[in-house]
Amino acid sequence: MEQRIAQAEPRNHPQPKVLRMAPVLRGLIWATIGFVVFDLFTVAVDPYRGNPLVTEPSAVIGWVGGLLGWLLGVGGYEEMILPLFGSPSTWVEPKDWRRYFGLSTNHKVIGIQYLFSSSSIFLIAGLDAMAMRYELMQPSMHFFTYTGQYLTAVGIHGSLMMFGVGTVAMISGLGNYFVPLMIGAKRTVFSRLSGIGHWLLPAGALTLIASPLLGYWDTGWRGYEPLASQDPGGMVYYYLGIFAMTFSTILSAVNLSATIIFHRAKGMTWARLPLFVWGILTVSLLNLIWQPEIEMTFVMALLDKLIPFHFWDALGSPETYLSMFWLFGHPEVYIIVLPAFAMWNEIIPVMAQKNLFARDWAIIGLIFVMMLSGLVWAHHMFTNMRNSEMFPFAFFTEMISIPTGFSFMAAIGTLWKARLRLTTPSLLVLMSLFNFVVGGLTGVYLADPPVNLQVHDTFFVIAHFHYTIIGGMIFTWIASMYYWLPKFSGRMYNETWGKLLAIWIFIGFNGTFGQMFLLGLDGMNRWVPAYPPYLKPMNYEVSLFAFFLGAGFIAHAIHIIWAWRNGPKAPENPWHSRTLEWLTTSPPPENNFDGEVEVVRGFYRYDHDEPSAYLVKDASESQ
Amino acid sequence: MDVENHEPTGILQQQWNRRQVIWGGVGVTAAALISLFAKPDIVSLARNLVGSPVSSGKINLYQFDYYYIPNYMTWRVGDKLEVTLQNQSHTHWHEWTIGRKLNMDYFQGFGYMDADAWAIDFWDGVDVTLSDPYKIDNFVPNKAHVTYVGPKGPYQITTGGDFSPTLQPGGSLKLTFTVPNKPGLWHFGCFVQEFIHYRDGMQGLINILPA
Repeated sequence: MEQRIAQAEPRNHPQPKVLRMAPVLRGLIWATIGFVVFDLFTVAVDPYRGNPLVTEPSAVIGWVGGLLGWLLGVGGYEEMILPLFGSPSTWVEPKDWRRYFGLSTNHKVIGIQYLFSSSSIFLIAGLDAMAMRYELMQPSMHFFTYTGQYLTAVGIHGSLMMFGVGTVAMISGLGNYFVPLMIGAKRTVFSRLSGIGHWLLPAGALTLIASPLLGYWDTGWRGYEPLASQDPGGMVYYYLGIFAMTFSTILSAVNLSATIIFHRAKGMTWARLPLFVWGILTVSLLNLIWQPEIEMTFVMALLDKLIPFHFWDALGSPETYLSMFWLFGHPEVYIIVLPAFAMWNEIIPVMAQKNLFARDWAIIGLIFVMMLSGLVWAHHMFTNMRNSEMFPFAFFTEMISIPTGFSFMAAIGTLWKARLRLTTPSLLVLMSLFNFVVGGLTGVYLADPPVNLQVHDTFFVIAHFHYTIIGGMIFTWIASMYYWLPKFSGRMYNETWGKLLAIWIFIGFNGTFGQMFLLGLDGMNRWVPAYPPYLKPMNYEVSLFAFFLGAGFIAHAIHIIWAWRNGPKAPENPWHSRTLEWLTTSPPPENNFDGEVEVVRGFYRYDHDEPSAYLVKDASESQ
Repeated sequence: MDVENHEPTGILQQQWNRRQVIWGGVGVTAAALISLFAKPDIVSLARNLVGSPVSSGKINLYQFDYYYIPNYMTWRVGDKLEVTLQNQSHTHWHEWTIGRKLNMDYFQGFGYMDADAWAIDFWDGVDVTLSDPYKIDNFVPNKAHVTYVGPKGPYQITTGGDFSPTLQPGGSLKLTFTVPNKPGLWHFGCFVQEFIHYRDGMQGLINILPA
């Protein structure tokens, strides 16, 4: 007898829907609507003195509405809200260029979205820096009208660079793209969360850029109290902008660490994990610890300003804010440079075709930098403390140079007697090593209280941290972009132009920040748009080098974009690297690998010709 | 259902083109730049198009860090006004001065800095009554003809500078006067803390119409 089985109708939508607007544009429109609705509601239920349409509280509530509108508009409504309430998702990711302009669950698309957003933020924050340098070409104010404008420019520059570039480009950008490829995974664990996480980044950056609309703020990227609580309304968009950007970083950290822990290919033991993946894992753990800490600090500061609670004014404890900020603020430096440390030891053995020297110590270095980074914060507060309190923090700060040295020694040990191919990536890595040594050595001076108390809040400090961050991370980021360009696009850059531009930014960078050490020692203070006239000649020169450097970064971007689209076809594995991302086609297919990856040995030994991993298309072929 | 690996069952065809993205992006960027850098111009354009109502009778003027609400007023010569000045800041002292032409001052080694006072004080020769004083820090009458109503205790009447009541955080004061025959545009601002408040945007404009 024929048996009938009750079967539900497939829940396809009867009428195909058509999205006629790019998700990013729809997101902007929905964000505007969200802001206006939430803002007007706040004004209606709680009118403020004089009934202005936008007040500090209504700007905050309106921002929440704007953020919700933005996230729903870029695809969150179809891909996240509908499934949440039991309806099928109607979101179909386009396969062409359109996929970059809306929510995606493909880690490679998300990685490129992060790289694009981060590069755009780098451009904006860089132009901001150029405006600051233009102002400092003269000892008196001639470009900015008010001191508040200059200080807001400083604050936006620092915040965007720290939270939109430093903690994003290599971790969320390159990490999202390459970690699954390097561990032999087909996708990430929380791909949908990661997809929505990216769209928090432009939202946060735009919030910061819009902050002057609510008033100029004076605190720079540090948000120092009690100044912040007395600052005009732009300060609230500093807190909210950074909240959105750090939340994006937290989602990346959750997704990448879970992917590394749970989605490794067969045979990918911890002992075989690639260096870059170790870098991303350690930095993700740092992010999971410290980003929520600074978010809560900023939420408290926001409430302090709106209500006010008096956490950090004269009735509370302003110094607690300093500690809470630097408790995050110093690990932030290591969050930025750890992936760069890892990447040096990823690129150098490949370019030298030589075994990585002391691989285990390179990893131990990453882990110990991660662990020690939370113990050094108070060296930023030497001017606020007793002599007896300085010693332990000077000690820990100088201690951290030891595990940092492990990464260095692994790189130098690998270079020792190596026949290094001097390509653009290896040249940039060598430059990065040099720059970071300068940043590191001057960091030792700054860890010594007698020097610190002399040069505190001068350009010496600015030079030091730019050597660390631009010299360490940005140079390595650009090196990584060249190194992986054949994987991204299947195309190769122009080696002559690559090297020429590398030398260009090296000269521009050292000309700019090298002289800042001298400026600082000569008495040039930070946070001032006007300064004593005897400092003008060197400031003028620094500004010229800074413009040269800025042009060099733009030239690199143009070269990379050109090579991405029009460069000559690259071989499948142009560097003869052994890591897994080169086991697949360039650019990689939708599911990364055409089969299952099986790792049989580590990736950093070049003293034999045996492959590190196999691609198993049929289970019976398994080793 | 494995939510991560599901195939979407619905259909949302994305039919938009490159031109839309480019023009949309350019439009949004232009709008953002205009709103960021040309805010005063947009406001004055809107004011020219729509006009501004003439204030009469009682006016509340609020002081915040570092702005006034309202920061634009239209008065008419001969109208009797009662301005209630209220400092809404939790932390800052604020004042209210009205005048024309900022004095430029040579500022130490750093060149010229704008705004240390007005060259022309609006209140010069004006009859004004001050009443309901609360948390007044100090008051400079300058050349105004001032009548005090209520306790004189809260005032510290001083000299030097323009006509300026300075209010403590939470303070308030009522100023009653007839708009003098001084038509045209007048600026107002707070010059507290070495004029930093004014430079940080604590400014406003009064358009006085002829009778």
